Amino acid sequence: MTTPTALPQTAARYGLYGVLASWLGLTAAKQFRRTPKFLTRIDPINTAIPVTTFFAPNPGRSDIHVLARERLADGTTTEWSEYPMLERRTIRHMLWHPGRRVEKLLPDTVSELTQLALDEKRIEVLQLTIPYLALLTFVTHHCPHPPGSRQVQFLVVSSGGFDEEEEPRTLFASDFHELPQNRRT
Amino acid sequence: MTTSAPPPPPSAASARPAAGRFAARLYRGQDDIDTVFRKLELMTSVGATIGAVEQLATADTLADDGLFAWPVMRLRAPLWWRSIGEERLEKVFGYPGVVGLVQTRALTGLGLLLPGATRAQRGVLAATMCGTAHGLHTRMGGFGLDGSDHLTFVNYAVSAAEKAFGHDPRAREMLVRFLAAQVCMAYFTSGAAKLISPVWRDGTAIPEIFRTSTFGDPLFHRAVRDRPWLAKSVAWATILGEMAFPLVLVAPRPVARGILASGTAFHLGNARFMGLNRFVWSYCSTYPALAHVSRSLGPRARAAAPAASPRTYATAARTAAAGRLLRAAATPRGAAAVTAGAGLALLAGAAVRQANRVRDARLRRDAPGELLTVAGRSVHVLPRNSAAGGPSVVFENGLAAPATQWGWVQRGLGPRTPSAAYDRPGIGWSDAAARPQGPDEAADVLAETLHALGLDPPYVLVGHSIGGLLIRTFARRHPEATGGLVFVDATHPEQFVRSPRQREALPWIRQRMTTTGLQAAFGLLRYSGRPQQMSGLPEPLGEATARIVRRPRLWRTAREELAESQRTWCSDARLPLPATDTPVAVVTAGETVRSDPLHAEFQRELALLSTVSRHDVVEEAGHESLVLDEAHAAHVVRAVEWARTRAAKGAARGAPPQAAAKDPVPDGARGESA
Repeated sequence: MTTPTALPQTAARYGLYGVLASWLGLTAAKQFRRTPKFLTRIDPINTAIPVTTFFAPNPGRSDIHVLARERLADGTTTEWSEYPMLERRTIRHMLWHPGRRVEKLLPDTVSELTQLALDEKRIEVLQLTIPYLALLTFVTHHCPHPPGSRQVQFLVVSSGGFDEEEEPRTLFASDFHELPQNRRT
Repeated sequence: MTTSAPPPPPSAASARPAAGRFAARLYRGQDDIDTVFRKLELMTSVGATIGAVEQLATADTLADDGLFAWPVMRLRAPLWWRSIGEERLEKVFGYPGVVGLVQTRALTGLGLLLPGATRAQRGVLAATMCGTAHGLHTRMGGFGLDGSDHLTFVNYAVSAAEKAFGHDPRAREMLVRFLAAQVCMAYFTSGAAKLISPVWRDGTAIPEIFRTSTFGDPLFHRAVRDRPWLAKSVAWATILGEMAFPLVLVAPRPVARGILASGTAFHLGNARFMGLNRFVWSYCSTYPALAHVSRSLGPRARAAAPAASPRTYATAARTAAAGRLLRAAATPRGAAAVTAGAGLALLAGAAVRQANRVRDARLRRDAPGELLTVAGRSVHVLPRNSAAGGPSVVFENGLAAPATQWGWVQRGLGPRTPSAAYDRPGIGWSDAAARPQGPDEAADVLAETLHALGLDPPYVLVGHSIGGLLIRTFARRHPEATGGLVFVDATHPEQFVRSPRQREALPWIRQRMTTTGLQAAFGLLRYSGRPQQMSGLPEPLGEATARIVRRPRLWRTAREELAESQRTWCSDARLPLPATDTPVAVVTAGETVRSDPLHAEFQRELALLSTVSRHDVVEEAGHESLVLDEAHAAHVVRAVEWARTRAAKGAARGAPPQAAAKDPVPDGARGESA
């Protein structure tokens, strides 16, 4: 027999069961390629409802490289140069791998950007997307620019990594963007 | 005289080494469930603290000019965050405020690693880890996170909830079970997602993942690159291991222990060769919870009498059940039931077979074209204006496409243009062959079909997609009958060798043929996009096509044709054509070029097959819509008419026309060589 004091406890327990069952159900639903839209609204960045189809069904098979070039004051453009962001694997990474988040950010942003570019052809719209702005901010402020640089453009390239026989592929080329005044040295 | 009592024997606790006592104090809880959560918090916190300190070491990436710049990432912040106020948000998530958030996370993680904290304190610390994780993940725009971050959040959330329900043993037990279910589902999902992937099943995923600097390792890559058997073994061990992981909950003790040991080894291997260091902590920290829920490792198993092990019970139960079934089947009633079941199964099979026959007969009766008998088989042909004179246009379909795919193109050609589209064996309304056609047989069947139809040469051969290979095959064997070639976003014989993208797509196309065939077999294809795409054809072809592509046989044949194209069609089409001045028109879909820039090069090379050529690129068209969409098909019609006009001139002179240039022509512009 349930005593009056046990009643709130029982109610809370059943409330918890409901939350846990929903959580499990939503996690299961999230694993499919076509997920209900409300799932994205509930957890837009998959913090609590993770996708666990690691490296499948179509694993990432290439490294992503970000290249930049500048347009100089005289209108000429420099050669493409790469800003290295990938580390070679060492045994230290078993315990300590501070570069992992940046390494993971590259395929994340580029995957989102190329997916957006499939549906949206207008570069002026793509320029307002988060992955585009993230990469532009980075090349503007972190890639070294030669003296006299007025504008910068970035190029996203994929490569076969250690498989050097495979030709690099261009995935996305940005527009030219003005460099901040204090960088025009 | 007083005698002193002998000293008491040292207790087990005091005899324990100091390190052991410290470990016990560190993770020993007030009961079984508390111990499970203490172990969970300890291991999760090792990984979370490492993660936070790693972020502090690279804090410049969170600066306003870094990759995770707040001015950019704030665009992704949820709307309810705005209610907090811009200034407060800036203070917490702007730079350098966000560094304080990461520091809080590191210190909280360290707090959970120290012994002596009360349950309430641990609950508050776990909740803090959840809150900081949500804040940081959103602050990072969801970029740069991995599965270990997500499971870490789940671990802390469950741990905090367990403290909130500390007075309710059933709720606490349920929380442990929930965590075990989450982790088992994560492993199973990961394995199942690999199982449905052709590149995992054939093992090619392994060297391709490990060749990258991001998730690979040069040493491991060298080991699997030249040893396909090893790559396949690793892939299948991963698939089966991940899918079998939930068995830890029901397997006998040695097997359950083996599964947990294999899981630990798997994560350590991933840390070493893939750099996934934090996964070790977040995933292995849940193993005590799994052991707690496990039938053979949990507290109930420990409490069971040693004489009656779960293994003994399970074996005895299985034996008894099998014996009961056998005995039941041996009785007269059992035998009658088995016979009746077999008879029903046979009847059902016969009924399905008969229904398929009736459906096939109805489909054949409704065929939109003519059925000719060629080489002892029925061949479906869609002729148009057969009696008209001049070069005849002959269409070769793409993969898994019936002859009706040319509906718009055939209608677009003038009333004085004789043309014919036909179905290869097993495609559309044509009878299936015992095996897929090789190049010789394909050319012979087409020649005989055209002869039976009474269509006169010269022929302008139009090939879409994989049909582009077959028109080259025909032209090489029948140069005297070939007046021109039109390649409609056609397959290049070397594209699967030279283009990594095409090569990578090949197993997926093969898989699509299989899955679409299965959908067709179970009657689910009517809900797929393919029949709807085909239904855009002119009536009555659209409806007939939508019906015929729902036949499983079409997809089976398409899969066989794809394999045959790799075996023989591509190598045959690679051989040079006898005449270099046969008019060649190439029509390319812009979407295909955008998805693989090398496709443009392949299409240019097709135009280079002849000194008389043109090349149109239809920017807005896709690979299929180039022929299925009326507006795009008009471009194909113009290319065919161009080739036909030149073929007619060549026929009038007794030889194909000479000379020309071959620049690619922009969308819609007449690209005739000057």
